[in-house]
Amino acid sequence: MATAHHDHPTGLSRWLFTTNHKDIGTLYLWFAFIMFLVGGSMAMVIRAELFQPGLQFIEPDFFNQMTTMHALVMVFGAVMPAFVGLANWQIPLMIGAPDMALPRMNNWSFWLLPPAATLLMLSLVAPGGGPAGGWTMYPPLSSTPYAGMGMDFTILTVHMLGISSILGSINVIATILNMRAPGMTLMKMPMFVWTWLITAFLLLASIPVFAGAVTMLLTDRHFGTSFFDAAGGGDPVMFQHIFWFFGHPEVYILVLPAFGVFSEIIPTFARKPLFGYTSMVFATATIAFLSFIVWAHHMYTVGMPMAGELFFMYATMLIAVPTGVKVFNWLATMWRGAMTFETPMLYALAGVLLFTVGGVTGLMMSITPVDFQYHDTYFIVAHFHYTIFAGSILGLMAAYYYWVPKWTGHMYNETLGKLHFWLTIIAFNLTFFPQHFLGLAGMPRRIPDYGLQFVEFNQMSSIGAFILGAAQILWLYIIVTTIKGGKKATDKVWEGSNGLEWSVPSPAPYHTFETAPTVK
Amino acid sequence: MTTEPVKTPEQKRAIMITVVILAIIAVIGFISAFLKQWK
Repeated sequence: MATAHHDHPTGLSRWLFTTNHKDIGTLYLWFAFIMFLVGGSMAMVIRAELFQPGLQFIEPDFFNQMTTMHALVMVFGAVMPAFVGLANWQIPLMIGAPDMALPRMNNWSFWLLPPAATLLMLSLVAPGGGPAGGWTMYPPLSSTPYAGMGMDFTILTVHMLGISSILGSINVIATILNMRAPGMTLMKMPMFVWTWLITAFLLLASIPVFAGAVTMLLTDRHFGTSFFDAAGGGDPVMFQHIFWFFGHPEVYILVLPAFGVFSEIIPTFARKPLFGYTSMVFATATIAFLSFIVWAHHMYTVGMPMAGELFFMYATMLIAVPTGVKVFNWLATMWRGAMTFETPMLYALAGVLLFTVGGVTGLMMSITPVDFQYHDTYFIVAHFHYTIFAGSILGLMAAYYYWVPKWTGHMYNETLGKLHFWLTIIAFNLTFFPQHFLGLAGMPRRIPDYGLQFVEFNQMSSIGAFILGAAQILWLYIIVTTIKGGKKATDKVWEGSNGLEWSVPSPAPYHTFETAPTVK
Repeated sequence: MTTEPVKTPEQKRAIMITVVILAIIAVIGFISAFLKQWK
């Protein structure tokens, strides 16, 4: 394959009109990082308010807006776009393709995001304020008159982000299925590509359902329907079913690409091939399938028939099996490997270990009668931060340190990278581990005030959160200095690295694999 | 607009078929959310 010429526009028009997968990947990653800081700032507001019992800084309604917006921004604005950014940068490089299959659609998928994020932020200044009923948007908390215009902004934001995600997932699937280099069969693909292929199918099957749910919410609010309005014959619990039919696959959308990142990094720094590649592929597919039949474990307390509760309990427990396969495969990959502990490896190891802590508490919550105690407490908050922060965000940090030499042509400062790692890990555990105890002791989530018995653990959690937030300023410094300069990266970058992305120069040229490589 | 890779006609056709199938899946997903209401 050949391109007509190698030059490209510069300045603003380069970024506005680009169809280059590396440019679009960079745009996604910067957008995600900005949203990560915005969502993190909201977390700082939450933790500042919770530093002491009683109301300190903000009104309860604004507190609820902060918890809701923090989740929406982090899930839809930070983690999902960050992984799409990684997909854009890495998938063509890893499968030997010159670009994504649909480059112009790729541009549109990205440029839907900034207006959507702006709309979401504007909801905070809309009459009635931003959404305050939680990211789950359960009616009647999201219905009129309880939620104002900000909820409409949020619904339209979800529509735009949903369109972006659906287009992005179609692009990823079309690229992986049709653009692989000769000789790269499906079972020779790098694990990161496999996890993204499966994630894209999860997105495609779940996001449209969510779009349908919020559309019904919109028509209930403004067009006289009663899908979720009990007074009109509707069923508010049905919204919860439809939401979680999307919402549970969504948590795997957030974490499966991180599993792919771990599966790339651990073999590189253990200097051994990935143990059990085939079982890794099938375990990922099994997790994806199971994620569609466990949704009601989020709503045991609504009052389901016993048979339903038992089905969802056992199906949820079953997910531990393929997840365990993956964890044991990573351990077996490291077994007797010639391991070194550069920053990406530290992040990958911490990600696996701490995600497993979140997995174990998830298994506790899957047990129906036990979940009646945990439901809507800080135990849940602790659990999902151990999965989403430790799984997804540590995975993203690992991916950044692993691939940034290929993106910029510069090595990051290893000392600063390790400092960022230790600050993040210590602060993360200080923030979220005490929340397990708060939850078990009965502190509910999404409240700005609490009883005196919860003071110590809340103060530990808030101090941890402030350190965690400050540590990310250090990350910004590392990102900027690595772009601007640093030790020149070699093409292979890491001694143990394998794969097509390491066969191109560092930094990766604007166009790569114009002539398809042959994979043996 | 930046230059885009040239695709073979076979690749273009395969990509188009993939896109159509995936778009149909997305539309079915959207409609299914409403169908759940008509039980």
